[in-house]
Amino acid sequence: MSIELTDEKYEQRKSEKYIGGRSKKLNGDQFLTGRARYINDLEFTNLAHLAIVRSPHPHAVIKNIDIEKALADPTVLTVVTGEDVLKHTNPIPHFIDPSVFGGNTTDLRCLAVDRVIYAGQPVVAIVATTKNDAEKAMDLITIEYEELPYSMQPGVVIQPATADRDKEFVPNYDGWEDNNVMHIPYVEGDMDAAIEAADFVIEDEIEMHRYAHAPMETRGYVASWNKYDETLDFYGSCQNPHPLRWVLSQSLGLPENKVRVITPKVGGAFGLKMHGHPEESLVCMLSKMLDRPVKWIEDRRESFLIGAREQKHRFQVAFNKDGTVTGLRVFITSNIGVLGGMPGWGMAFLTGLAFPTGYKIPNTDIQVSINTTNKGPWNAARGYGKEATNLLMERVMNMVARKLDMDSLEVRRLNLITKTEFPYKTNGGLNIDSGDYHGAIDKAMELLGYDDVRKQQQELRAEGKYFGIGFAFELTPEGGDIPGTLVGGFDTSTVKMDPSGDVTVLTGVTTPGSGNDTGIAQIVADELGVLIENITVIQGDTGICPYGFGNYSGRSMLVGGGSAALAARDVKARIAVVAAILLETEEENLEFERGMIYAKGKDASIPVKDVAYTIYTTAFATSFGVSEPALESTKVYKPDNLTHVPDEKGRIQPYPTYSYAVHFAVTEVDIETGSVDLQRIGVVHDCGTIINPTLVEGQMEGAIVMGIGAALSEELIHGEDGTLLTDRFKNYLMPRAGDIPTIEMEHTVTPSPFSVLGTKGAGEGGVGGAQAAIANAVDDALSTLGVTVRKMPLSPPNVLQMIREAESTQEVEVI
Amino acid sequence: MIKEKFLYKSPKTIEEAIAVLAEKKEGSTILGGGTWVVPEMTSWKRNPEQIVDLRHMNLATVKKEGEDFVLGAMVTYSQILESTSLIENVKLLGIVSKGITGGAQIRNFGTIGGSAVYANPGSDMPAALVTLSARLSLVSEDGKREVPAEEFFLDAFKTAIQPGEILTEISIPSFDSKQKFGYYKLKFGESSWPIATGACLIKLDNEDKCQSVRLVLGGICAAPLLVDVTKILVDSPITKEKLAEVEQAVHDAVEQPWSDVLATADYRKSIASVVAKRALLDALR
Repeated sequence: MSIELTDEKYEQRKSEKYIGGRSKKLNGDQFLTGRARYINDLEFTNLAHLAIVRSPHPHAVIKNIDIEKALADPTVLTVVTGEDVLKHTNPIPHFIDPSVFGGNTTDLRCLAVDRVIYAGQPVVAIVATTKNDAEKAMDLITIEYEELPYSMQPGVVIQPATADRDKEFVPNYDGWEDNNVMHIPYVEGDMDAAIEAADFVIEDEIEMHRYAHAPMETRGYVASWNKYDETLDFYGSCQNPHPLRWVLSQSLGLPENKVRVITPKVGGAFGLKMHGHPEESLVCMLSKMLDRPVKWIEDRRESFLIGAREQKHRFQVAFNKDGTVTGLRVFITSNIGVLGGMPGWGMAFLTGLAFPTGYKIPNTDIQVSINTTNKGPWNAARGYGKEATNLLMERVMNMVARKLDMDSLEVRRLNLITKTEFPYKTNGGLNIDSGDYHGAIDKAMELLGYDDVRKQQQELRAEGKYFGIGFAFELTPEGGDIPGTLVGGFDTSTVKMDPSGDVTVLTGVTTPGSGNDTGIAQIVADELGVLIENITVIQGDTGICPYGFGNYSGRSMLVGGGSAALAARDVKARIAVVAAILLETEEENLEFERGMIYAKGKDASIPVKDVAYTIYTTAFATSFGVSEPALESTKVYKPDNLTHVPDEKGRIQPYPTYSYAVHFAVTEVDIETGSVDLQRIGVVHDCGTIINPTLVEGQMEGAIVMGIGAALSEELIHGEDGTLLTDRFKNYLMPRAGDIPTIEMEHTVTPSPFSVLGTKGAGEGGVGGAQAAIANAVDDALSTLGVTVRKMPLSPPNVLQMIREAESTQEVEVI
Repeated sequence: MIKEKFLYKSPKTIEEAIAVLAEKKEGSTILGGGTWVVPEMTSWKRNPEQIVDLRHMNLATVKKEGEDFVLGAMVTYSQILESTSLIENVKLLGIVSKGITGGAQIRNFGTIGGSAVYANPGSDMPAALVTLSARLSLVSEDGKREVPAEEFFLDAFKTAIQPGEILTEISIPSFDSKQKFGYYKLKFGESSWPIATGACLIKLDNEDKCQSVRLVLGGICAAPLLVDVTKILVDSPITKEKLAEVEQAVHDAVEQPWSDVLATADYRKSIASVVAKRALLDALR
């Protein structure tokens, strides 16, 4: 049923645009009333359940697997091992294959074959009629392992506790010389000369730890094989249905057009639900073998096996006494755990590429070393490696300021790109679209009340308190496209209007629960001049949506919204031709507003829906000049500012738009316990044109909280034996509401000249900036003790250790 | 998900409970509020043959018997907070109960008896019971015995309770009105279990000289650590020097600090004296 507004309401609303307004979340009532259906809510006939026996060892040869007892259990439908996987499937294609970039690669299988390389790796799959029965049968499986030396940090070998004498270390993968995936250099200018010429050089480091995505809903999949027409339906809590369909077709050996991927509501993703996970292909294989639907829902402790971001950064920064930074050398050592099929490992790639963020540093020498160890794999995590670049750059700016006894904001101002210099090509080859970085700093200072807070700091210091203020500038390249992969930078939408005037948008971007469907509906409503209530947005079903790359890299408004705008304009143009005929006016005199079309200069109007009905029913009498009278259009939006054609220096430009932010944090440190009290946190943020401020603020708040967790408490910790110790929210400490001060936020808008609507992207940024601001605030608080922050997270034990180390160093200096 | 099937028993009386328990002494798990038994079962760490649920045994009452408050083992944190006469007198118990990690749901389910029997170093209640000189009543086929809290907590997750025994009541002596109390808790965020707690009871005379003192640390060692600082403080005013002596005594008393995934033994050793000092200062505030 169409929804129409009363005249009075219409008058109130007709002048408002949806874009820029706080439209309520589309179908928000479904979520509020519990009608939203997630993967675990879907019902299937004859559903079977999967439980996975995982390796208890970080590295071991599988000597023998005894599945007989489990197979004999009457509740068990089947038990499979790596041998079956070899028989029934092909390797799982990598989301990003390192070999595309000249790195080492390996075949990926959904169950371990011969050898396990991390504690938690799937070894045996058991399917039973209930989840309980499947889990119970796990105890009936006997696996004999021969433990091997393992490595939890690149280059550090641990002998298994059971070994009576040292065993020879073997790399994780056959045919590899060591555990290194690849080494990537990004060199620009002459760093040695910069060091030679600079007034000062600081050498130091910052270490980032492994932490998790931790969405509210873990992963979950149901595969349903149809033996009659030999098609596979795959329901999954995932981010990229179309690329995943290709992966499943390859690993299962099925034609791509016989596989359908359907995404129900997703309860958060943050990159965790990008594909390449073994369980995806596994449920499909089992459904095909058993000829019935098979479901697997990830336990929280399984979810925590997947991490991201563990990286050490050694750096040298060359600068002059006025604060100008002239050179930066960084050696990055990433610990990606095992190589997964997911795109996680590529984060390290992007950390290197994103240097030196928004700063003009003429000489840079960035070396990235990507290493596997015997931890679980990485998956893409919000920030996608660029959060590490921001953390490092902002620590560098603070260190330069501290050395020169300058205000860190002045050092930033001196080195940041100015607003007249855009578009600006960075050392990495990125072409930054637009911005006003200095203006954002001014706004952030005002929001913070900078001078007052510095005064407060002096007073508190006099009272013996350790109170610090930290800033961070954060640049987030958005909407990326990685060549040679299905990480695409364009996307497609269909907009169609029914005879009733109702509008359906089908789009290739998906929502992880964030609300980009609402934003897309706002755009289409404005472009078509219809009411948002008449719009339905359909996402995440390869059976009905146009080919799309899904959700990542802050791309949903950029390419999902962009392509939907183009398709809506096309449909509107067809409506306009007929409306002009019906209203006996010229097309340029038409005004579309909230479901009505007015003829300027005359007292005539017609509802959009009447025009739609007219076109469908009397096209041959009315649709003169419309070659395609169907009210349906599919458009692709491919952003301009993105190219894979190497420039004269061999650099590509894989990101079209660049959001940025200036963050601040105020902390007080309890130096006796190492506890950090985060008193204030805030941001001034520019994501270009804002479609819906509520949604943008929600994204930024979520990202800041993730950054707070990263800065202070969230950490995936492994024991000496290589097993994961943090397996629930009692020991993996995500911030709760009571840990978070009110998040202070202001927007600033410099539209991107390169996107359809001037949007840049929101959702990806915020993590690195908040983390860096807190790191700098703690560093500032403890600077009088000689502490330098070098290691995250700033948990009380780590902070206390920093204080102790600074005390002992200072004592040495006195001697 | 809970893997194994198990027997569920819900006795109505102590006698019945004892009999049910005696049938399967080793394979039974007693269920209080379920806030640790159930997660242990769903994470496959505990697969009991039989669950004995105490909820229908009328053990959720708070009574005053003579000078003691007697709390049934099934009294929840929320009930403690609702027992005005109890927490107005034994204020420390109210403060501890209010600060239990996990919010309203845990406070509504978690019981004082369950927390005592779990003896988790990362739990507030064991050290609080030692501080308050509580006595725990245990019943079994062999009858009833009462164990002082100091002797009840033997090690991490280990108490004096024997298979076949049920904790039924906890008696807490009422407060001497001249007694002051202090409490300090360190945790790493709202979701963290306590890393360390310090509780202090102190009585001062009219000249602010210490008459008696009791100082207990939780989370620092496997079991609550009662540090005897009587010799340092009694008959003396609490000076800076005395405070430093207390800190040293606490530091020396921590012989085998507890270690878990959130904090190492070294960390706990280094903050023990800080936590003790803050609890003492809180008592003197």
